[in-house]
Amino acid sequence: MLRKLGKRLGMGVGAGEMVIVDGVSSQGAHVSSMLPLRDYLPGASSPETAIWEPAVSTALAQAGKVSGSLQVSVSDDWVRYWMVTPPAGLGSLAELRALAANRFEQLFGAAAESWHIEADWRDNRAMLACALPKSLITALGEMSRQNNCTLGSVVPEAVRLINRDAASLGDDGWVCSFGTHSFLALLRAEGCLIAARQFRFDLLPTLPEVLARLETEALRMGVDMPQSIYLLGDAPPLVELPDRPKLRIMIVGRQRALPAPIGLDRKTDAYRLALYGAMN
Amino acid sequence: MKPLQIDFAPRHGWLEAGTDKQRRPLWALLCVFMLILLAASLTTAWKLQRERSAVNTRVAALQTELNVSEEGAAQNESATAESAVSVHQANMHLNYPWATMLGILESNTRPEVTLISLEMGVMRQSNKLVIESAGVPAALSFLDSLRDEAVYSTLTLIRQETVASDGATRMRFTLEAPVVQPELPARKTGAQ
Repeated sequence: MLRKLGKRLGMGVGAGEMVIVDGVSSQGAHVSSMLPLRDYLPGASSPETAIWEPAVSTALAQAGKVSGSLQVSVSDDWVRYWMVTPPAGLGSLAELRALAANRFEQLFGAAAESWHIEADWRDNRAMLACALPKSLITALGEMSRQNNCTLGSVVPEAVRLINRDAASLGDDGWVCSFGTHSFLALLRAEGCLIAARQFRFDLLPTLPEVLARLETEALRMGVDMPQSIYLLGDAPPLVELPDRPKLRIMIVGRQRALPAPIGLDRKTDAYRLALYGAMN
Repeated sequence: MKPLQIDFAPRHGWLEAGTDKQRRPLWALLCVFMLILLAASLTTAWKLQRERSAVNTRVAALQTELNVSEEGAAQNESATAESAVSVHQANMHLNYPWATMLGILESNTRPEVTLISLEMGVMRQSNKLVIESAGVPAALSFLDSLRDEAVYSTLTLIRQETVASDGATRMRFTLEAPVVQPELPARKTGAQ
């Protein structure tokens, strides 16, 4: 148990690589492992078919003898987000889990057995649910049993970002968390989650393009476009929006400069994810 | 906005449930509890140590007191035993059936035998009777008559001598009988 009180290790599972950061100091963040996934992730063409065990064990072997609490942040490229609304008369958590799995299969057309589904089960209203490949969770759990570290948390990128800056987010408006190839938009009103939508992109959209997608989603939902928008992560830069004078757009958390990597030549998305866990 | 409670890490126990931030108060509470427990244990150990020292001191004092008492008791016991023997002897002397013995002598007196003395020996172990008579037959006859009595049944002749008195020669006989000592009362011992 005391071991679990030890230092935090950050693992970032990016879209194309995996990074382990085993310490952050004033000089920078010490990167103990950087693994390109294309060589160590068989079946990587789809999250369902990817076999994560070789990649996870190799990354840990690269990191050498590490100990502490491993905080894993997974890129939104590997995550599926959706909404679950508990119906009236719901009997148990198992029933709600089954409902979430059923909804997942309807939305994404994939078998829920290959995915690990989690949600903010405490809420009795509409809640955000997300799914990660089951093989990744299994490999991480197995790795923690075999190595001298505990699996402190495994959290999707958007959830990590939202939780990091939750205190700065208002109860109304859009909350958009930007990843490398997608952004998650949560529509909230009076503190309640109304909608969740993941938008994928190849090139980071501009702010007007983001607004256009949000307006379309609001229209589809049949709600007025909120006047507050919170941007998290690698959000597009702010631009003048003369046609939307009432719109308030806030970039949250950007003022936090990431420390320079030691042992890595550039700040990759996996490095950024690893830092989220190591510094949280 | 409330943080989202979404975590895919397998949970095994209540200390691992929730996020690190949520677990922090639990750990803090656990640490505080352990510190309190440690402080209580140390305080109790210190108190017990003090009590132990006090008890040891008290035991040592009682032991010394007991030793002194035992020595005193032994001395008292010795003195009491000597005193008891003395009292017993005095009592025996006072209760000795002198009157009976003298009465028997009187009833067995005869003209040819003269009673000289009846006394207890120096060590009070025997009674010594001295008689005089003109001849041995008279003395032996007197001795036999006395032996018929219980208090003189063990009377034996231990010496005879000739003495001259007023120009006449007489025989002096010394008779002796052991004094039957009644037993002393049993002494009380520490084991009883």
